[in-house]
Amino acid sequence: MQNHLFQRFLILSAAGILLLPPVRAQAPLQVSGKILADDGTPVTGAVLSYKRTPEFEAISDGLRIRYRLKPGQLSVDNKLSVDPTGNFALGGLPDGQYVLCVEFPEGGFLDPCAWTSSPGVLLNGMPLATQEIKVQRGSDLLIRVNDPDGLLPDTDRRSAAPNLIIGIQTPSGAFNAAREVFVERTGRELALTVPFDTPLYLWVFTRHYRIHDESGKEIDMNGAMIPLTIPHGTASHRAVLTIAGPVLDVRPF
Amino acid sequence: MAPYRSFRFIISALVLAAASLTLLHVRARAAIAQPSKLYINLAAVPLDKYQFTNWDSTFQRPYVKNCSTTKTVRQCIQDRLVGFRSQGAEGVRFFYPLCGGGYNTALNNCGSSPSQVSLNTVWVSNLNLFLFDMKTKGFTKVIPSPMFWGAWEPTDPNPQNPANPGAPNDGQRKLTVSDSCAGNPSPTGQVKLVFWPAVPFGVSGGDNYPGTSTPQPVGPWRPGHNQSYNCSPANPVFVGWSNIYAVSNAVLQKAQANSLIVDEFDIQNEIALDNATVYGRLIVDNKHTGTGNPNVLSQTRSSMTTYGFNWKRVTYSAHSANSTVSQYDCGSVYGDSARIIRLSEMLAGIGGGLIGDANGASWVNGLRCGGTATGMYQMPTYHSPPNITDLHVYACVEATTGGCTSASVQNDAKKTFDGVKAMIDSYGPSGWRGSVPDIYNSLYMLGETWSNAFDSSNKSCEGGNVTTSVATQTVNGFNTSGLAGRTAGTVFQPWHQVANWGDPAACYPATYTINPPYTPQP
Repeated sequence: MQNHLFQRFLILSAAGILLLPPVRAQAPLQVSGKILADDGTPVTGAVLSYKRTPEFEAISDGLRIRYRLKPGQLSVDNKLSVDPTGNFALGGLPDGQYVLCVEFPEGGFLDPCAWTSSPGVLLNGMPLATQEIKVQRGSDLLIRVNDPDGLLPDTDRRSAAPNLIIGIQTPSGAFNAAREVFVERTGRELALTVPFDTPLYLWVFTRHYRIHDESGKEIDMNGAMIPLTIPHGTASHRAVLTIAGPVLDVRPF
Repeated sequence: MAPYRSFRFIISALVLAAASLTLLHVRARAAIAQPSKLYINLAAVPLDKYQFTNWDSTFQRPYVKNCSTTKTVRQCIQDRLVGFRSQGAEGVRFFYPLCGGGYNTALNNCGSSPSQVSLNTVWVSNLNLFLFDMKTKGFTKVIPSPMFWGAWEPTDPNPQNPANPGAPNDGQRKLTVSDSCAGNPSPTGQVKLVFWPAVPFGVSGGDNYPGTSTPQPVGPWRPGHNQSYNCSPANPVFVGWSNIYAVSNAVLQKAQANSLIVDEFDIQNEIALDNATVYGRLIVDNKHTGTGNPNVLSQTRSSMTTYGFNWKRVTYSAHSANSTVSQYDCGSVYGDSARIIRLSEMLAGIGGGLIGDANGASWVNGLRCGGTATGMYQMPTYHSPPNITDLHVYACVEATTGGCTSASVQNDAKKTFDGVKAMIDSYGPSGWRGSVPDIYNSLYMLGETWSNAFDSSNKSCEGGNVTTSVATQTVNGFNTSGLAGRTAGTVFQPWHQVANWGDPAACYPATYTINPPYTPQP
């Protein structure tokens, strides 16, 4: 079942990858890099995102500060599927500071931007920058939310959550939401790759529903933090939650 | 004699009639489409000095510009209140800096550990007098807005060792701290940030990354990075949420005691979640959880209820974007006008949607257009929406070098207001987002707009290179937009900076006309 769920995730993700531009060296070449697993082996299936940090300037009236984009800023925010050996090359970019993130649509590795810290790259007219990005392996967490009565609404996810937010919180307070990978009338499935051997919390937040865990026990409202530590080498982990019914007296704020 | 008197009477009557018609004509031309109200922004009222004579001997200038130095600050403020009330204003928005700046020190000992920080009872007492003055001068509504941060005048180049004699000890610190945000080229992974004690994150002033000659991006750390909510360092000198709530409770309690209605509580002036998701810590803080309820929005809404006010009026204001091309617009990642992207972001931040910068979005004519939601950030909580929509609009055509040009204020104001209307309609019964009555029926608060005050060379006191008709054009732009005539109504709230912190552009006279053109119609 777990494999079945993740296959759906893979299909959806693969569809997204097909839309990405192929790996190609753009002239002039500015960044040459490689994405490696933490054990030094090349990583396949990675999608590199590179974003130029826009330059802002502070405008103050003496008390308030507004940040205004500096005139003439060039926007670069693109993705690139990395070749099977983990190599990538970037070119034709304006100078500036770039943040490099690495997504893994097929799971198995952690995006350093979300979980650790990814090196950036500074382009300042130098002929070629080289960049080696090491990424950590992780466990693919799959979360099934049973919704037998079809209570979860369809919302425009950009603007509002569907009355339920699920993700992983770290002890330092960082939160990464799980992404919806499959929706049906009686439930939906979410996925997120998480680090091994790290004390984490499965975060479940709703004001609208009573939710049971796999044992049928009702979890706390308003931000249940369910301890979760996944041992090294566990390729995937599955959690099941069930919406048991609506909260009749929804806390308004 | 009688015919002469009759003739004189007729002439007088004609003159009066003509004058009345002229006045009616002017007002009819410029009045804000009904139902509308007029409030006034006073920015930061110098409450620390409220009962002082209007002269700052340290900086050698009056606390309130364009007011006699023989009066007290309180008398100066009372004069302003009378002037604006006589023009139909019925509400006042004011900032209250928490830790100094703008002559407001609501908390003592900022920069110390939270247990050593306390409510400044003198400040609270002066706040009470100010609210009393508002009430006795005829105002009924108040909009408080805390200022978590802000620069003391002039912008302090070295907050750790204030260069300005007399600048308050507001607890600012410039510190080198560990940073886990991506893209940090420092060999130690560190960053140098300014920490204001009431802000739950640090701010980069453009110092170099420690150990490098590479300048840090300027802004709330880290600008342009959608993970900044997670990776931006905690504030080592944070005053703690309990202390901040003590101030907001005092404000609400004094408003209640003076029979004023808190019509809006603007938690953060012009929140900019697209610039840095770390602003989200002003909605729910994930890094200072041991200092009080980290859910800032919920706690403030709860306090509003405690003091008898409408909790749905707790929100965050946003600032509209102007284009460099007259009337240009495009769709943001949210499907709304890119001119109002910060309003869209704010509602998403409250509602548990996606915040930050959209992947693949482009800057087109000064606006952030398009993009996909991939890689945007989702907050850990969601809240019900406010029933007030507060978007600041200083409409103009933006010069490519920054700042306003004078062209096309009316048309561009209309464009922005139409964007707000389209967003509101998207939450209507047949809107594409699905029905959300609180947003669809929300009061539109034009929380800041042009003051209609100009210096001797006809330059706007807000510093924009706009013509003296800018306020009239803003009203006309509103009246021709879809927002005009909404049953839920509109409040116009022009800017008026009352405290004098040395900003030369702050040229607001003691008395000047805001109505017309800002003529409210019930």
